[in-house]
Amino acid sequence: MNRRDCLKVTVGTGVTMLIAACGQASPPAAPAKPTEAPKPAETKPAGPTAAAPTTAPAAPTAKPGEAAKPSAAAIPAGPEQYGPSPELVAAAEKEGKVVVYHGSAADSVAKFMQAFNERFPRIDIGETLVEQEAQLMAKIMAETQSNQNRVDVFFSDLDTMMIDLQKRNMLMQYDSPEYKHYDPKFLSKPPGYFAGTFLTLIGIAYNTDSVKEADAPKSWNDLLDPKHKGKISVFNSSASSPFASWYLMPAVVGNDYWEKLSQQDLRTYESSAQILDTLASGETPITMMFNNFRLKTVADRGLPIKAVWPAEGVPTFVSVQGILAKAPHPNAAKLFHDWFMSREGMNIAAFQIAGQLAARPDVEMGPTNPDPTKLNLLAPTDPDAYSKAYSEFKPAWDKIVGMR
Amino acid sequence: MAGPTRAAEAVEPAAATGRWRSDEGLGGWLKLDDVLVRVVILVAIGLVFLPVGFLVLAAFNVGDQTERTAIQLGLGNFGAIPKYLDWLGNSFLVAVPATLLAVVIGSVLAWILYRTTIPGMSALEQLILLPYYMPPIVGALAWSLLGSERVGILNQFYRGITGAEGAVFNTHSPLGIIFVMSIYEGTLAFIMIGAAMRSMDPALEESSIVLGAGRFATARNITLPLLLPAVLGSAIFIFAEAIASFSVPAILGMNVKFFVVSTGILSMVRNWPPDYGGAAVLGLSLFVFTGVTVFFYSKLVAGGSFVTITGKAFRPRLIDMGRWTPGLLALCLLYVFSAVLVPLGALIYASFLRTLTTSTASIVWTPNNYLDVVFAYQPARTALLNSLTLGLLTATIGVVVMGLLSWIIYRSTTRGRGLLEYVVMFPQSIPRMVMALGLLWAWLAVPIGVYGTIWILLLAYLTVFLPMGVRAISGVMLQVDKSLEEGARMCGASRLQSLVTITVPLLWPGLVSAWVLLFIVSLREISTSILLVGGTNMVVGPSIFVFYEMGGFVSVAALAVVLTGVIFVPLIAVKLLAGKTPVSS
Repeated sequence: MNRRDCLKVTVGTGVTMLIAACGQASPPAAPAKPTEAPKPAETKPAGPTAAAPTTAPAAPTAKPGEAAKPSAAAIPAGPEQYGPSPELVAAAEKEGKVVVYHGSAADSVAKFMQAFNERFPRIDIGETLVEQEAQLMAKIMAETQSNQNRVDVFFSDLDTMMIDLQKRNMLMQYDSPEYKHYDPKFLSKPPGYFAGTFLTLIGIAYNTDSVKEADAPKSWNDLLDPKHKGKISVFNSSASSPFASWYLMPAVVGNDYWEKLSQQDLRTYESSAQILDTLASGETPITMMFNNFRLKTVADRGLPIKAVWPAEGVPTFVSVQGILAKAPHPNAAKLFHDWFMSREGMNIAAFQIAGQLAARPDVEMGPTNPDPTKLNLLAPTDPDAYSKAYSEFKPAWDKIVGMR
Repeated sequence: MAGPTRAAEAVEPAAATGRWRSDEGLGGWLKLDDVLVRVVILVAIGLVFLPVGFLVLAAFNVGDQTERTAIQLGLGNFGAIPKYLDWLGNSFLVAVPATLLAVVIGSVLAWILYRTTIPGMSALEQLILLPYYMPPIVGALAWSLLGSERVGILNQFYRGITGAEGAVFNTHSPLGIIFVMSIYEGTLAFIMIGAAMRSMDPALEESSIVLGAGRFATARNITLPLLLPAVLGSAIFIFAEAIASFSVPAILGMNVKFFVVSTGILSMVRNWPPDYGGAAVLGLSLFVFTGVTVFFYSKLVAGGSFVTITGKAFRPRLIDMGRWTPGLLALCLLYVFSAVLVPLGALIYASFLRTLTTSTASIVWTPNNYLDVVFAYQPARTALLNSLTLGLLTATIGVVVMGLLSWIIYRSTTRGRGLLEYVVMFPQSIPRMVMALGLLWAWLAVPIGVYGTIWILLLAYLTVFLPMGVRAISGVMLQVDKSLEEGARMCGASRLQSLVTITVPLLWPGLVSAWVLLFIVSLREISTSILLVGGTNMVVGPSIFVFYEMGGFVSVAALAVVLTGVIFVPLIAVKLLAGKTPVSS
């Protein structure tokens, strides 16, 4: 190979890189509308709250430029326009981007970040990162300790990590104007550090093609049947949501339940998307950690999956979102947080895109979700004990699934 | 071979092996080369041992794992070793058979291609190299799709054809892991052993045949012993990769709770709070085994002459296998099918589905996965650009640095060269993920802002690829008989002139293939980068893995196909422009 060939090689690779770079330099993404158009107006009662009667939604205070709103019961479906202060928008746009670390469903996250970017096109969302919460926590800690703060907003499935950040003084104290619409039990203590976004229910689901109706499990105790051995999927201990099941279920199924279940050769997966995949294909045809929001995916894709909400009790958890104290783009972070927590944002993110039950009472719960008021919901009664129990979770869960 | 005595200089016994005496200087620069050599040695030591040092520190740190500054020393982490013994055992359980199988596959393929009169040799060569361009995670994903117990495509075919109930095999098992690892490592063995085979002087084999030995006897008694260093070298390399392998055990082992060291470390590090101490201990315990292996290899190549490139011209002689030829051809094609065509085909099929399913009746085709991945998933584009950039940087800087290191180790009399060889080969003994862990700690503590940038990845790649690059270059260097250089010296050339006009051109094919090798390995790797990537420095391997965990399988299939395709393009471009294949000269 002589010098001429060397030159050819360099030029060739350089051109290829240029082409790839051009793809990089193009607008962040072609606008991808959420796959559902806003639902036609339905007069369903306003949304759910966990194990508590539906609180009367506070009438929103009229912001400049908005018409005064009618009372809650008559609010038509459809997003109320989110009306941030122009100063906040200007400051956020000056910062130019917001960096969100998000702990669940990558497909939904991509879509609602897209929606935010369409609303505020001058704020870049390209550095959104979706990974399991534990990894995100590790990154957040590393960034803070090396003074290379990168992240603005953190969204986590469980509040245990958010509380940890709060204790370390790593969360920004910000009284979002949206917090007044939320039941205080969804807010941090003291309020202003983080807030609950979605309420998730955990139930059983099975593939109707692979599992006959007569054999299908209808309760937690049915899962102990030996014929289901090797067929049940769960999350592994790196995911945070199985902590809710692990902690809450023994109260209704007995303290020896997990030990008995560990004989069932449980199959472990990393995320709700993986569990859904393996459920839909029939590879692991039963799951005991089915999240209600996946019902929307089931409906959208026409999957042969049926969900069961056991009468013994349905564990729940609340996802939370907060702003980091050392956020490099604090105004963009506030804007994003406010948008997300607003009725408009929740309508898009929870109702239209993700199929989630919003913690906000004035957002519809969507046609795919079960009515939580009719279920026996389980939630932690002692938040301190709940947080403390998290440190015992991983070794216990590893043993239950047979990792050790 | 003894060199001619030179009146003008004292001849040391060291000169008999063609070593360059460092006090002679390069082209007369007084002692500058000496300083250069010392600097290079120091940089190499820093590059390799700084992370290792932090790793050892992490192993002894029993303080709060979330506070990097709160270090308390103690032996607490070591007490947990008995808990991890089954992970260590699992690593060996898959690595040893996979290595043996890979070396067999590679040797057989290399022998068929380079030593027999098989038709279509250059085309076959290209095809057999293809698996090496695929990130191993793509292969693992494909074989998960093909071989899952209930919905694996091959099992579905089996059930459809025979009407039986069960599965013919399940890739989500130790055997499946061994099988998939050996297919993809087989290409590496093919490259390394093939390079040696092509450089062999066939006169030795010809003599054997002329003297009456049969084709197989010649292969067994002449070819094999001459190739022994290449075969052993490739076996050791592959073993080191296999035992630290991440992608295949991650995709095929984790959900059935078959953990090896690498996936175990990942799960320890990803938890909150992370167990860095345990991860460091686990990684260091693996070092004990691989360190011993490397030690024995270095003893092996220290003695003996494996000079096979001499000053004499030669034509390679191929053995005509006659009626075996179609069978051998079929064998090669079988490999190409299993390693590339069938897996990629399966992924392409899955990428157009709306969802994976067992019933063919309910298949819904959709291009949405590609649209989602290409347009909506910005990190994929970032990952690609980063990987390409890193590949270029690693390969170019790497060849220069490693060439220099090889020359110092194998062609000089500098006092530090034994130490340098040890330092350079050291990263091989440590699983890449563990090395990355050490790097993470090292560079967080040092106040240079490389955390989360591609520079930390560059440092990581240069460190973990040191053994591979140095071995590739020095392998060729060792085969060049110093009599050629000495011939030039005798004609009056200075050391520098001899280097430039004789040594470098002779080494050039080796340098080029080392460049291409480094480029390829940095594009396809995952275990080094998965701990070091953040939002902006994402690269291809981890981006596929993260998407696999957090997205749906059909989306991941689309992403894998797109990224593999776009990686193939520059690699094939490089090969076409280079005019010849990397393994041929």
